Amino acid sequence: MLLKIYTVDENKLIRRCQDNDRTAQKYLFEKYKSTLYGIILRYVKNSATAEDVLSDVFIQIFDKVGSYQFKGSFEGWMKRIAVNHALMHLRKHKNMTYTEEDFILDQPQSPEAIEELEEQDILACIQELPDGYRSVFNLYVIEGYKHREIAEMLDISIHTSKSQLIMARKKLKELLKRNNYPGLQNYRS
Amino acid sequence: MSESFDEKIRKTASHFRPEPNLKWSSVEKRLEVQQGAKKQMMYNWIAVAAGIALIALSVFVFQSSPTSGTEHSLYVSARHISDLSTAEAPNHRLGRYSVNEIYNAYQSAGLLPSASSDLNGRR
Repeated sequence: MLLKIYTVDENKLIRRCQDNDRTAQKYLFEKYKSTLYGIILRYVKNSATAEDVLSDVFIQIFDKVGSYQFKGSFEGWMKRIAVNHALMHLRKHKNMTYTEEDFILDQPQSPEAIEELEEQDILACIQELPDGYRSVFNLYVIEGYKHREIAEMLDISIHTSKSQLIMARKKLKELLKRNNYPGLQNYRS
Repeated sequence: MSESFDEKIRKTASHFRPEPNLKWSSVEKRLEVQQGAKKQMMYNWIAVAAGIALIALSVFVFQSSPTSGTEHSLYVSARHISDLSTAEAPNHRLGRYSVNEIYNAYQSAGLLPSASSDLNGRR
């Protein structure tokens, strides 16, 4: 009965979480754990570490859900917490280094090259990127943040954010080619 | 061109929903511990606040009491003397001095209203 209510109205689920209802919290956890874990795994390479971060993320979600104002998407609100925690983890462990490099012209890329890539292949390649490249790439390409926002989040310059993105794209294409993932036979750099 | 590359990556990555090994029970346990710690902290703050309030109240009561400092000594002495019989009171000793000596000392210091010249007369 309770689960049925939640599937119909997410606001009810959120309100019950705000009232510290364990059943609602459990339901929220089960519903979003995979989505949030997928995000964290793009930033944190190790799956055990990613699960630790995921646990911290849910603790913070339940701690802060009382301050959620029902403005904007709740899933987006949770995703931002997950991204911030993943970045915080990288920063705490001093994994993020940004190598300032000159802009390199982006190589043309045929869309077919990644046509048949599986999610796992993409993740494996993203995880192989150096932490600085990976963070900027994830934030810009997948999360959709602007360079100005990324610069603020990572405490770097906009120029660094842009150059990291270009280097990340280049490196990712190299990795896709090197690992010979499905669909890459069409790859021409 | 890189737009389409980004779009492909975004589309593919957004479908990625891996199943973590993390169980609800471990998150729930952490929530219980955290909430317990929060309650404990709240109780500690209440205890500290109550302690401060008690100290403040004691200081206030002590300050506003007519039996503070020198007045307190005088009050105790007077109470003690009033318990003694008339005959033994003047010569009764409180530490090094007799009651009569203490009375005279208080009076000469202007701490007592002038009355008879000694305790015998007062009584």
